[in-house]
Amino acid sequence: MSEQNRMRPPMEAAYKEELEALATNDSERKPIGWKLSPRAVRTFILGSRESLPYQGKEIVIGKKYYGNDALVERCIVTLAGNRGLMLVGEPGTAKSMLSELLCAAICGNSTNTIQGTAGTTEDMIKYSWNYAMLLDKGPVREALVPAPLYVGMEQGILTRFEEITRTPAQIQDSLISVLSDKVLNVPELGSEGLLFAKQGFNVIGTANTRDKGVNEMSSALKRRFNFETVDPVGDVALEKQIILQEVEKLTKENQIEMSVDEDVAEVLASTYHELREGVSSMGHQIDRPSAVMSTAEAVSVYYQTMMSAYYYGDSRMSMAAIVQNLTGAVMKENKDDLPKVRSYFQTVIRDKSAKEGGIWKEYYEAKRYLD
Amino acid sequence: MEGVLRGKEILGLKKAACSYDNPCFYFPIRHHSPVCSFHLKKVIEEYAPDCILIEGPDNANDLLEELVLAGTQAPFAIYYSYHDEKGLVNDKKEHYRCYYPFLDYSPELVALRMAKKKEIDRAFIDLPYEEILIAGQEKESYNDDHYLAQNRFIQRLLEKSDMRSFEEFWEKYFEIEGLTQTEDLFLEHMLLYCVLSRANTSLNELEEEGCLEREAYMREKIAAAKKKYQRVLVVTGGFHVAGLVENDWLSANREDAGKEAGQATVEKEGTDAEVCPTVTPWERKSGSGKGRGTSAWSERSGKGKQLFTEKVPESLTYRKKTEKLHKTAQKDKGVYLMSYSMEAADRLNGYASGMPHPMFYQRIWERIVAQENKTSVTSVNVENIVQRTAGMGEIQGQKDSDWKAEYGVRAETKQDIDGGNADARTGRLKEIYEQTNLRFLVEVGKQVRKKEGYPSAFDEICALAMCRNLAALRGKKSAGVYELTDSVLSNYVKGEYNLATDKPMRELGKALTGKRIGKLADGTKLPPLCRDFEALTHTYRLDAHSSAKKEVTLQIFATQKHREMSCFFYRMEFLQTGFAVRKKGPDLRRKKDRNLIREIWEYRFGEGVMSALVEASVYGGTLAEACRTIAHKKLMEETDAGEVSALLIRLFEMGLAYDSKEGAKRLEKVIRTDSNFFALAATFSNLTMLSDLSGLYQTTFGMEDLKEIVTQKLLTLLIHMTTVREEETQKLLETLKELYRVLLAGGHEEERGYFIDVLRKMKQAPDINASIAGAIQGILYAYGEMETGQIALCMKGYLQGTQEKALWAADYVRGLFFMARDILFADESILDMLDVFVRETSYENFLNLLPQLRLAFSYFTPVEMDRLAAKVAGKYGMTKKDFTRLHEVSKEEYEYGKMLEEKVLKHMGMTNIFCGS
Repeated sequence: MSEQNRMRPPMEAAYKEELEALATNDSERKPIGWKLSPRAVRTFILGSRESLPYQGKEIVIGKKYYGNDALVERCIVTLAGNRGLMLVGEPGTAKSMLSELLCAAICGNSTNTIQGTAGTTEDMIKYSWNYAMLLDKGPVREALVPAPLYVGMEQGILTRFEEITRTPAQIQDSLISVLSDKVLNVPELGSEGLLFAKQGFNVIGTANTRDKGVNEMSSALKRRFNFETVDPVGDVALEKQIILQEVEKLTKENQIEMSVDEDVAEVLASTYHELREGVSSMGHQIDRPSAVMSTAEAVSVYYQTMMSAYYYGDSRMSMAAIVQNLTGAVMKENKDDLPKVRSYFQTVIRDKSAKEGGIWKEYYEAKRYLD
Repeated sequence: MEGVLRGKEILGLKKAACSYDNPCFYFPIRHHSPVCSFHLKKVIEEYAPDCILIEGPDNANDLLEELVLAGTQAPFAIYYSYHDEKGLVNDKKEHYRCYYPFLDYSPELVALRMAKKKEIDRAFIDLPYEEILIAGQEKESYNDDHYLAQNRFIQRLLEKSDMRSFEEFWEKYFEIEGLTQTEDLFLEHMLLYCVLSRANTSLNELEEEGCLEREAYMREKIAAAKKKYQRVLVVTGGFHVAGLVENDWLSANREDAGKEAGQATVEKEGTDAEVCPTVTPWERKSGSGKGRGTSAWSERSGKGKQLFTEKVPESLTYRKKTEKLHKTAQKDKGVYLMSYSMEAADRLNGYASGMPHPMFYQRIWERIVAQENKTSVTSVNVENIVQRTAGMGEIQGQKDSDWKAEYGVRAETKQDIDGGNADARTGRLKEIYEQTNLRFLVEVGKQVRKKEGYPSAFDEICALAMCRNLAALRGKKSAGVYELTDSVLSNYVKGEYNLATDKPMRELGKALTGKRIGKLADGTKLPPLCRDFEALTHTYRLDAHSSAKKEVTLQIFATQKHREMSCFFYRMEFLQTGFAVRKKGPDLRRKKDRNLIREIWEYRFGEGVMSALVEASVYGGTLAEACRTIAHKKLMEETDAGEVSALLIRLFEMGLAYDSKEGAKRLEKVIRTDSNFFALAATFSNLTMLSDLSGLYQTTFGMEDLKEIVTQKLLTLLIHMTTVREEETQKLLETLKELYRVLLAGGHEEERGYFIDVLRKMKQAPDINASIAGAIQGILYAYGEMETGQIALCMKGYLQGTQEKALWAADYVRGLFFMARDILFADESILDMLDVFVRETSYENFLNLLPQLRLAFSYFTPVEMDRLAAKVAGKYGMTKKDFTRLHEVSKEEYEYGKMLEEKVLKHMGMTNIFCGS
């Protein structure tokens, strides 16, 4: 499949040119096994104000992760060291995106990933066997099917472990010896069964704080990771910027020829921010819904509305459709949240509509879809 | 101000301000900055001044000797106070106070200590404290350098420089980088930064805050010193240097020196100097491929380019003339030394001046001094840790020279850095910061491990490696406190960072602030309040010098001296000195333990006691005077009648009669305007108590009029109190009881009549709470206004009424018994009614009523309960002896018996034993 036809290209493909420009201009020392220096990795994720010369062009590195620059720096430094990196936080706080960006910049491969589920087994993490070949040739390396951890160790690249706490504790613990000794034993291969990790190998895990207690990580495993707590975006203007940027990316990927409406993004950013924080910009105290009110959800609501407007409407963002999609997003987790959103509209949005008019009035009038 | 460039003006200014050849050397500082102190020491050595002038109110010049006494240990502060009796500051005529803290690494203190050592004359040169206030600057701390941290320049700078805060910016470019620079380069950077900060502050702001008047005064003092001395060193906040120094560039750009502030506009055309394109100093040239470490705030051409391409801001050029000082009475002014704490000096705790994390920078300073003196400082024995960080993903440091060369900024040459010994100084810098970081990592690790069992030694190793690598990634020459914080967060916090896991960060915060408290040398001049304290402790033979805890027992009602000592302790408590704590004794504030006749006080002397007394010295020369003034101030601000009476209790405890006419008027106004019944009820209760106890405590109450006013106000509001919330019921019942008791006494016939009228009206209210109805009837019965028969009838109404009314019966009984429990002995029919009610009410209803019924009977004394029990037993043909023979039946036994009985009855029914019965 050509890269263009991919629904969602991996980060290293999506930002190929930026990565190449950074590599070309990167004269600083790199940790062994890294494609870029730590500072270039930082620039890739947090952007630069100046452009870089690359193949006769000036490439500007855009900011891809917003919110906490120091956290990104800590992540980079952790990955250059001996510890694994564990990103924890509420759903929709861009943990996975950050881990993909780190992988793309550090080793050029963000797809070496284990997806943690209740059904994840040790062979999905380490290795399994091609049984036909196993029967034919016996336990030889050729018959071994490497899983992401094995690949990471063998190639000296990063292995991503998504939603690690959804995986049973005994499976999680299979990482302990690998993270400590950086060696994986394949007993079936006998004396040749020791796989020593190549320089550059490390693990980035992500864990959702809403899954706390499902499969709590053992303290032995915790000790092998540096934890970074990824908080929701704390600034409405920044949240609006993220919505705009992400939706724009999605429209490009899906070839939707519609421009992104800044005012609608502002309304959504403000709604999600206020419902999440429990207080409005005008000082109203708000009942917080139990549903995840993440920026990713706001992007999804915007994009759904945009798609309906593009394919079924007049390519104009309708506030009625926004409210309908917002209702769906809130109700999918807990029906009891709907009265909270309704009450939010009847107080905060009512007052904003009276004060600001325009799009806020239209938004308030669409409150009937919450009934 | 978009035309800000780096340029020759700074070099010109530096030549005028910071040249060893000049008769006057201006050293720009940031308060509490170790790096400024580090360079200042070198400048003092090199310049060898014969006089050092320091920014500070000059009415503290008498303390210059005490500041540097051998026994005076930092942190300490100069405390200034002023009572604006003439209303020169404003019409409020308030008391003002302000602190000028000193830490070991404060440049001002370093300069003073060196001056003492080298026998150099020294003086403070700022306006006296009261004049600063009059000029318009009211603040808690004198050396507030918010000018350097909060202005448009720094805001824009932070936006562009990827720094989290001004403090991080300062640490990177000054505290850390400055340690590797020569004095020449450091001063150049300081001046550039300070001039740009000032240029981005409006003249109006400077005028409003009195900055211009202060500088005018300082200029005058400097001029006078220049006449007397040959080499004068002026140490002031960097922000003021451009307002003190004079050179051709500044004077040439001054359009009208006599013009009023805010009016002058200087439109100056470009000079012969080369004009640079309009870029801010922190902006990078396009085309750079470097990371953020390649940007510098301080880049400049150094080749004659202009700093200001449009106009030179008036905040730099304007000079105000000195004004005549005001005449103020000596008694209204105070200036003393007091001990201070690291906690108070921490910017993060609200102290607006200086820097955050005072203990961190204290340790940095100690290492700097130790290196200079070639002495050793307590090092953490962690060689192993340092060695083991080797090879842990070391990140390459920034190549500074690249960006400096690229932007034409004068980069540090080998000559700039330690006069050619660059490697040595960079190595020393790393040692200073790394050892300090390591010490904190180990200390915090140890503290957290005690409770949590982690972090391990390996965590500490990883944290140190992370400090280094973060510094390299961020383009810092060494890791500072921000890298230390990041490392602890990343390596010590296991799991999601929240309240349950934040112990490492809390421990780090405490360690960075420090607990150190300063000490004053013996013989330090004390304000009269402190002398009063010393005199009183001597009179009462209390040990006011030892920090060991001591206990004293006072027979407050038996001897006059003990009551006086009690007043002394209460006064010390009121002034929040932390000197004494009452362990036992009557508690008038909470109305507890009033039966006790002795007070036990625990007291201990510490540095904080004197500091608190120095702080309070603005309010009076004796403890009594200070307490009375503070209480009066609080009373004048208070709007809640309950709080006012609580304050009167405190005055009463302190043995201070409150006789201010102004205060009495204010109290009356508060009471008359406060319409909160319960606040007034609290006031009534408090005043009644004070009135009752005045004889016993030998303290004049003097508030009888006020008590009358409260009583009248309460009686007026009482009529509306027929329905109250459950949680307020008890308070209302107590108020009713108190009113009944007070008005029963002679001399209150008129009020009593009114009270009875109000109660009668309340009784008629259809929605009255049952407990209040019961209480009202109890009072009316006690006053002889109701017969027992009427009460019995009313009770019958509740007990035998509809189901809903019956449920209120227990509340009614509770109110009635609270006021007049003797009625149960006076009228047998009431007990009979209760008996019938308890027998006939359903089991579920009884359980609902039980709590209130229990409460109702809790008002009886044990003797009364005994009598009552005998009466009830008598009704069932039993005596007290029968009860004593009974043994307790357990729930299980009871249920088993009940089951047996039911079975037997059933069986008997089946066999027709009961047939015909």
